[in-house]
Amino acid sequence: MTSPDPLLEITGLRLEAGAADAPARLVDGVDLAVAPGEVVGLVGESGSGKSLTMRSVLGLLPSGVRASGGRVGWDGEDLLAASEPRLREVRGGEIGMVYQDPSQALDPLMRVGDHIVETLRLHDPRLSRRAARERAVEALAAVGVPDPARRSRQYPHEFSGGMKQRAMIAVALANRPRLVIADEPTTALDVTIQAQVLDLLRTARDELGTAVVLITHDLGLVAEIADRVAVMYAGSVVEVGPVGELFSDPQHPYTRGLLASRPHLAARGAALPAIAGQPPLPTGRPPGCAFHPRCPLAGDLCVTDAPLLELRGPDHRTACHVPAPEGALR
Amino acid sequence: MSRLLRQPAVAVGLLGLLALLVLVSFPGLVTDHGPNTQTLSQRLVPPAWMDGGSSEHLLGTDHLGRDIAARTLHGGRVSLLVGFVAATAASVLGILLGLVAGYRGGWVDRVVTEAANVWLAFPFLVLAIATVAVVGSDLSVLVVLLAVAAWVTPTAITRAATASLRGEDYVHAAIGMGASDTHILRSHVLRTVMAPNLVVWTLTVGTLVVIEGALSFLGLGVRPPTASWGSMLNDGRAYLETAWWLVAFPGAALTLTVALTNLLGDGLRDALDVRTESR
Amino acid sequence: MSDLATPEAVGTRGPTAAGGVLRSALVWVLRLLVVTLGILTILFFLLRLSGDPAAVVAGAGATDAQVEQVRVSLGLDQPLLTQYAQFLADTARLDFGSSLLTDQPALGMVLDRMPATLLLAAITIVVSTLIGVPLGVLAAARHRRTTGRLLSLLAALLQAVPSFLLGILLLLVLGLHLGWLPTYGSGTPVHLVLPVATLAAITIARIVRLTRSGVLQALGQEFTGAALARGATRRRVLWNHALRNALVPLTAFVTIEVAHLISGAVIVESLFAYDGVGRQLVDSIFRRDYPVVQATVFVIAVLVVLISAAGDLLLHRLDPRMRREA
Repeated sequence: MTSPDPLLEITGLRLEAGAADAPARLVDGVDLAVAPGEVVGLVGESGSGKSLTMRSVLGLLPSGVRASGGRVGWDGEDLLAASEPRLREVRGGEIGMVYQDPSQALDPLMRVGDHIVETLRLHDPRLSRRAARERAVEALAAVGVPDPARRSRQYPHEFSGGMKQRAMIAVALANRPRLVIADEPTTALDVTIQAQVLDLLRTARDELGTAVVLITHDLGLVAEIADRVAVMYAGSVVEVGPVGELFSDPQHPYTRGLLASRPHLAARGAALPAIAGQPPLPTGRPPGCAFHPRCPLAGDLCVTDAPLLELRGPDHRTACHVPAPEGALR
Repeated sequence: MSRLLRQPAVAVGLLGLLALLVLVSFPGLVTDHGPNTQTLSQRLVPPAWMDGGSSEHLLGTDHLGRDIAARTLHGGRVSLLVGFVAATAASVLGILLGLVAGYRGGWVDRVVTEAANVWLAFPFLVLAIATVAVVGSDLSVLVVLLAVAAWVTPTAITRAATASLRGEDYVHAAIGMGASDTHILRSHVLRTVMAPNLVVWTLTVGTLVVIEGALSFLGLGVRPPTASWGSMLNDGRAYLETAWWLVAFPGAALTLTVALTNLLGDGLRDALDVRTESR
Repeated sequence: MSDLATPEAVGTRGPTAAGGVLRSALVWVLRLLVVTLGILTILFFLLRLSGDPAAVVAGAGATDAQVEQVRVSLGLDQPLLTQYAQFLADTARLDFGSSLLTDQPALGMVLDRMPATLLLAAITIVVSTLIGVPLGVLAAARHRRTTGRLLSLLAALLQAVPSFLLGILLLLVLGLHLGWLPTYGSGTPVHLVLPVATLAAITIARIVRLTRSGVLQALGQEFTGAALARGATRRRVLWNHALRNALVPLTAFVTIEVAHLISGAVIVESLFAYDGVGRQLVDSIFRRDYPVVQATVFVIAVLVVLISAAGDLLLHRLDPRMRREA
């Protein structure tokens, strides 16, 4: 599903921290495109740079982390070069954000409805407080919060975990953004509630045409909701493609490892294959392909030259020197 | 230890306090005069480097012709002794109370917490004054009063740390394996509460030196003619316009002591990476 | 003056704060009874145990006959428990006896002086908060830059200067050398300047440090980042979200700070000859005017409990997590 005009187009993004002469390269040349109304799963282990990548889109990098190269294209403009006032228009207006733990991300001293009121009025100062309150109640109703008028006047601690995440989504969707970034939105929730949260994101896409970037380490989640998947390893995208194809025909040895290490009902009793070794630290990336010390297929080229993302199928790219042996590792 | 000393705040604070301790322990290094020797012909002599000053009295003399340097050093002896002893007593008391309250929980915990709440809300100086009014003041009364004054903070941090450790898996495991309460408290809990208590103890020393100074300043500390920084400040008030050195040197010594203990305490807090908040 | 109620220790407050407002009011009334009765009882027995109270009351130069007269007039010839019962009955009637010096009712003397001390404390709290909170927010917002570091350093230094020393310094510079302000006395607004400045300096330093750490802590939490992600300006996040959250521990702290201020008032009033309860308390001790001491302790205990109760109520208003739906 390639669109000629992607909504979000990250190219060659580099994020660094530490001293300028010997920086830690936290994100090392990431390419990622998201089309309007598309759901993209961004998968990787913690520390692979997936959250940082998406935070750079909003211009909200942690202090000490800086963008040292690349471009974050947003509907044609480069957000890395955008002014702070322009970024404020984008944040919460054109791009909404859903966090992993809603009990951390909601202000404990602010009524739940006021989070939505604040979001609305920050982007439309002419909106009266009263009108904003009404819209906040509607927004809570839309994400399935029961008795929304009363609930909007309650505080976050009076909400259950699942309700808090619904409210968080209502905040993110308040201004009908074109993109929602959901950073591990279900990790802190019960399994039964996870499905409801995914449903809400799917509904937002279907009804509002909102594109979604789902940051997660859970491949099952991705299989359920995403149109396309990007797999990140050690600060780079190693494979990206349509969800069906990537699951059925993974090209990168790391993706294959990830898929193989998921428990399967069919293979009960057998030991789960794990990827040997640990991902490298940002300060100690090996030369060549960052995955080569852990890769069963690594050759001489992998040690010296970093592979680039190359087309392996229609819209299916991978960064690997070794061509996938058909079904060999699955 | 060497790791701690690499922290500049810790090194400066520790060396400064050591230097101070050496000076007040051996006043003879600076002056030959006794703290209470009056030379009435030599009253209000300015410090040696000023007009009219004499090399005989490095920091000048007071209204009774007593040597300021000698009195400042001897006064420091009292202040530091009281501060160290009372802070130590407060820490011991606080750790014991905190361990019991945090480990036992229940009504013991509620009583201790409640007492701490009320204690914090009450102006200590008023209590101290009322007590001194009744029982009079000498060194031992002062130490007891100050130890009681400072019991809350060590109790609160020990209680919080103990209560949270109580919930840790490894403590549960130790209980499950049949370890006795005293064994658990001694081998698991005490170790973890020591670091924050060291920080609090250091800060408390400075605090108590100030309170001792305040009591002496009001004439409720050690009895004259025994020198103490607070009483020297009180004596010097009357000569503020003409003889500033009467208050300057004990005042500077007091401030320096507090600054050094604060520096050391904050440095230790950073170096040991302990939270001393009790929440 | 003292730094006993460190921000660290303030954290012990809270468990009792949970529960309804009514319950919390009841708890405070109970505390009022226990605290005042406890303190007065301790003083009562200390006085009886620490020697001959009649001799203490009669004064150092009294003859044996005079001491005996005092003993009978104070009922000290009665058994200890009878004395204690009598003492409790008197306390219940708010009768602390008359000043041994002026023969006026002790409680009345204390209440006469109270407004002056309350004025001093109230102005100090208001001034310190108005100066300390904005500086603390600034110190947090600029914590990596020179401004922030300088502010923290200044606050730490100011905390190391005892109030009685600071008072002397201010007296020396502003009062004596520059002659801008009266150095002693009370009654007119200018007489308040030096005492308030002395008391406020340390309170400001403490408020700056507490505000700074509270705001920094809030800024480190995800909800401030989430507010930025909603499009809020950094200024808005700082003042509307971070400071708002920092105000909760700050309120608990300011309540306790009142205790410090009363302690500080004792010193400052003595230093600047300001006619408040603190100065009267110190004077009473040197005059052995024991009923006034006792009445002062009682009034301050009541005051402290009332202020703490008010602080609790304020905390309930500020932090919804402390309220429980009925």
